[in-house]
Amino acid sequence: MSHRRWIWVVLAVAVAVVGALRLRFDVDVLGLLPDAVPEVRGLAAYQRHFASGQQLILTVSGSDPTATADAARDLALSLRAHTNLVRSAEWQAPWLEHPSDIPELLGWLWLNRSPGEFAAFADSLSADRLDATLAASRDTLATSLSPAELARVANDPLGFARLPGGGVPEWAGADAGFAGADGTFRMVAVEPVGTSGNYRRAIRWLADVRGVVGAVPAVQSGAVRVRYTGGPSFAAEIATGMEGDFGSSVATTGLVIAALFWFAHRSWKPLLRLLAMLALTLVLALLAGGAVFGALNVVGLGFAAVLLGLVVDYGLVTHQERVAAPGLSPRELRRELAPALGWAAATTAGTFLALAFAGLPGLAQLGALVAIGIVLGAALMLWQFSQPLPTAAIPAASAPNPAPVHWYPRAALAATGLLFLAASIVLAVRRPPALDTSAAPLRPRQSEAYEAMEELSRRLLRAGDPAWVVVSGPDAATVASRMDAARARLGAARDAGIVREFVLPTDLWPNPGAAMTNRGVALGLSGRRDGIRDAALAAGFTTNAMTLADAVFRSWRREPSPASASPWPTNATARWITRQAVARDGGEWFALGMVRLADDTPAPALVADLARDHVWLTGWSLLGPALVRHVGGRVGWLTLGVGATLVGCLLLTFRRFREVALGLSALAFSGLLVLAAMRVAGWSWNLMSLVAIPLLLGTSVDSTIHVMLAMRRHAGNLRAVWRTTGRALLLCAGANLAGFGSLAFSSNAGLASLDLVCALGVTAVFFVSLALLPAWWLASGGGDQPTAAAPSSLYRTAWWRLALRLPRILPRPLLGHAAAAAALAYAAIRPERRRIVARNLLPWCGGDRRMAARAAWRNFAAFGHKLADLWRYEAGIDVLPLVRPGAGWLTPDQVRAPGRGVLLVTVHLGNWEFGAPLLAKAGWPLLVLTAAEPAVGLTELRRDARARQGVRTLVVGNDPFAFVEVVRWLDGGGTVALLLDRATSGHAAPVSWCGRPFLASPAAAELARATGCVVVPVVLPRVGHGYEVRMLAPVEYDRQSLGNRAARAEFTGRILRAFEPAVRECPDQWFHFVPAWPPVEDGDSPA
Amino acid sequence: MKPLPPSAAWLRVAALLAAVATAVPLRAAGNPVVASWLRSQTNVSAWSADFVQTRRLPALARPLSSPGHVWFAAPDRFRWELGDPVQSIAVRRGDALLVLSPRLKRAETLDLRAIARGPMRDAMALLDTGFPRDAGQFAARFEVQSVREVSGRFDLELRPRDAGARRLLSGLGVSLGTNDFALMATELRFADGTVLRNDFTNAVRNPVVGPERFETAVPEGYSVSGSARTNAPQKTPGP
Repeated sequence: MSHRRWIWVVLAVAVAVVGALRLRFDVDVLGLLPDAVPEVRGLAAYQRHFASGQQLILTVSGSDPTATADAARDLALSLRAHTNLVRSAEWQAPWLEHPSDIPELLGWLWLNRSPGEFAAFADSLSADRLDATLAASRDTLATSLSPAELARVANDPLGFARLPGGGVPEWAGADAGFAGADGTFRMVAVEPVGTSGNYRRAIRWLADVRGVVGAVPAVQSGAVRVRYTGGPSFAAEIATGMEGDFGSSVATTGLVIAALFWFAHRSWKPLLRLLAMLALTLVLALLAGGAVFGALNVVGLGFAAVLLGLVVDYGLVTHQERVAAPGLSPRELRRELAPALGWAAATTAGTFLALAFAGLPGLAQLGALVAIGIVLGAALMLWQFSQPLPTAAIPAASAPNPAPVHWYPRAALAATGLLFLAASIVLAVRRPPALDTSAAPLRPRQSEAYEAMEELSRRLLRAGDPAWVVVSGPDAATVASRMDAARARLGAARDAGIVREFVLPTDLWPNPGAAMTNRGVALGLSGRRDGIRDAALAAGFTTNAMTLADAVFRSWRREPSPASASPWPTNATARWITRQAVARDGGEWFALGMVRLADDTPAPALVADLARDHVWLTGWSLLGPALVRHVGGRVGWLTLGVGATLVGCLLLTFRRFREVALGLSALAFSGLLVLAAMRVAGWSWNLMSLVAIPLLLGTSVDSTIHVMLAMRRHAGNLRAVWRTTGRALLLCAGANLAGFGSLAFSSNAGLASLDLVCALGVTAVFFVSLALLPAWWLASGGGDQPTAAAPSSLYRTAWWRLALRLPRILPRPLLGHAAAAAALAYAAIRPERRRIVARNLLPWCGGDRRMAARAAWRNFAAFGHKLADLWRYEAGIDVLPLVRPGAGWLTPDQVRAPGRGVLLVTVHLGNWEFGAPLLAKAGWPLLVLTAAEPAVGLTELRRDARARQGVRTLVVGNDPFAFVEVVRWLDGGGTVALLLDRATSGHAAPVSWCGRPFLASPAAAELARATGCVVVPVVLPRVGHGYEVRMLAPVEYDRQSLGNRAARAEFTGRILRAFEPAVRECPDQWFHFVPAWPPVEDGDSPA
Repeated sequence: MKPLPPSAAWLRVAALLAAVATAVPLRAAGNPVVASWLRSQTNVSAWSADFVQTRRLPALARPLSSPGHVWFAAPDRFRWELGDPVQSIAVRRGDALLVLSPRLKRAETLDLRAIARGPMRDAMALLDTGFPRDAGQFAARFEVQSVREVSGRFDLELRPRDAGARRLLSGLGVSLGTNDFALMATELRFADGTVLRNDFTNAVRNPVVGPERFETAVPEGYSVSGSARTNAPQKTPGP
């Protein structure tokens, strides 16, 4: 193994090891989303830092309120007993279970109020005003009809719980959302132990919790129904879904690919190799993804099936080529295929990499993984399938080209019209698919956790889902000031009708300065506690009513917490309450508030305004529209970019407006069908499926290109196109369809919708490309267009006229090199033309493809020099100094026999035109037979140019009496020159040349039979800077024996074989740019 | 200390208002007093009375009494005014319940549709029926413990059928006139020891009561707190 290979191997192993070490699965849905969107940042902070984002929530529903409450209590108690699983389990507001915790919290809240507020409260308990305060409370108890007020004042006649602006007492006044109004629906909030960091642990943990829950009698008996939701449940569900998606989609795609391959090739060994390479590609891409990203998310993991569907194409193509060319060495085949596969892989990988610009990190990861996999897979497939096939696997030669399908064009055009009409009607009547701006595509599709959450939202949060306000900052003071600023902004928004109501946890936020000031006042009140109690008893209250006040006074007398300790009270109720609204993570502080927007409509301006001050207004209902705004514009630009690249690709491939337009029309028509089908199926666009548009454009243009190129190659013979390119496309489309389609059942709704649209798109493009596009191509005159089997489109009158001016401007060496460079450039950008030349030269190179390929390049360069000299000749410049008689030169007298003309026969070798002036000068009365040129006016242009050099041209094919004139010319002792190595259509002699079947022009044999002329083969190869006219020995024949076609073909073969040594000597001067040898079925491929 | 649960507080008010639900539809089969009382209510479309409400609370050493006035209109409208001058007003029309505190300019609203069943609904059922309209449903909620004739009145002892409701509302008493089955007093006894009693006087059957009595719109200048628990810690509604 070479040094360079070792470096690659070491590098690959290193990447694999790093990938294996770093690889993990990220089940956080928010990891799919762009952090730059404020709603995403806020929601991520909420999920990550606040207790309610991490709790498992059990919903308990029954038919009887009492039984439901008892079951919820039993569940909580059972779970609390499992301290290895559960940190806490709450079935009702904690202060109902621990009412003794409330005074400490109230005391803390008062200490952290503004000194002015606390002083006012203290004043209400002063000796002067205490009786009035107590009397007011007594009046309230006598007359109030407010339940909250009655509950509060009965236990708190001094008003400790009557904090200015609300606060905890209002929280305490509700049931904290633990029970629905009718009591038959409750929730139990469970804080887990040890589920973070590992999704498998979350799955196991949830299973253990289910076991504990299942053992509770009320659950066992079916008296209540328990469902699971909240962070751990979503994590376990998403992780299970990811594993399932990965496994099932890969298995499904693999099976479909195997079935398709077996259907096409019926061969086990290549199939097993294909599957092995696919598995290897998948593993390597996974490891590379692990090395690059570390964590793979739920959408990113969907790459597997898509990748398999795409990479298999390279295996199929390489295998097809290997079958078609079993004689090539692996290196030769790789060299042959590498450019095509490389470009195909690069464009597809590029399209997927472009997903990075779609604005969704989840999709960007999927795109990058697919791109990595495509490059790896293409290399692996090329390496593996370029290996020689066992003899048994080489199929027998295929049948000759089939007859065209005559009924097809009309039927396909009718189908096009009908489909267009139907799709247009569907879209006109039912409108195009709408855009779903919700965040639903981010959620699991079938999800117990989500259904439970919806029920919870419906039965407990009767006013609908709230939006959250997350305030962050490096310290408590910054967060407090940001909350103040946010309060002002939200207040203004409420005044403007944007916000219905909002709550910020300002009451729960520590205010160290105020606490320091208030402590003195609080201690003063504590010192008067006995007097206050006596006053209350005297006012008619019992000691029951003073329990709360006594506890608050005690809490004030306790030593304050050290500065390093938690700034909040530490009892269970206080911890529970603060965990709902306050969080710290390292050096970052977070506060959580709630907002109800008017009509629940998004308010992007308010979100942006708050975000400038690190305040994130967020919520699931806001997320969808925000993401659609974020993604929509990017997808638009991405589509434009991909579209422009696509038009460029089509232009580069076809160079004709008509075919470019056909390609674009095929894509547009596919798009129309996709839209109509989506509408009929009731699908809508969403922020994930929108990305399918550029993805489909990027991956589907290949199909249109392959089909139109195949139509060119097969001269519009549809059956041949179907049998070759169609079959390959069917395999590729089937594999792609399997790749995308297998994810249609993904547990992630967005990924499923994206892949459903992609699968639909692949189907539509495949159908349109293969069933309709050929008819469009034929109807638009595609059959008349030049193809790779016809002369180049550059061989046109205007270009030729222009070229004839160049010799007057440029010296011969410069023009020669310029023309050679242009020819080489043409060969580079038209590989199919270069391949034709290489195939033409293959027999002359002993079947050595590599040699033929090199000869093809030289051939193009030599042709450039030949053209430069030809332009000089036709421009009227004397070229005789370039031409000299060579070996076997004969004078007319040496050849001519009485009454017999001379037929100078040549092939497309060197600069055959240059023989004419030399021969004319040597006294040969020359008549050049030529076929009509492919462009209007070009025949005449070139005929006139020859005439100016004293050479007469007769265009055969146009004039039915031309043959008669030629015969007369020969009978008169004249000399006729013609080319033998290209037959006109329908008039060819099958001969054997260079050991291969060849279709030659039978004209020489026909003329020999008709006139008995002397047949002299002549070649004019370029030698040095000039040309040499080499006359070969005349080919003898018996005129009488030429009476039948077979004899004339045999004679034609003999003449041709006389040229073999000359052509073999300089194959790079045998200029044939259309297929010279009869076609052999070699399996077209869409590489 | 054991603070009163909020739902218990609602029960207390509900029961308090229920005290004027002048016809408890005791279908208690075979009880002639209940049957006669039910029959007597069929022609009552409106009712008004003065009352004195006496509250015995564990937090108070002595009971508190306040005068007030009540209006009722079938099937589901009432207005309570408590205190002199009026300190609290409770108005119900259909499913809307409005509690006003004129002195503090405060208002509370409650949507009764949100209470489908449970202890609160049991208590509110006393209000729903007013004069009996659905005796079967009401009988499903309450059972008659005893009926006694004492000093020219019938004393009916009731209790909620639902065990959960009984945890908060342990019993109810209704006093009716023996001659005309007119409502004389109601008493509600809560599990925490709280007792609310209403003694009615100057009762008028089918008075003309203008619809403005049952207006549930919040008056201008009042601060409003709704029944929606907007400040409660909530759960995330998404994954």
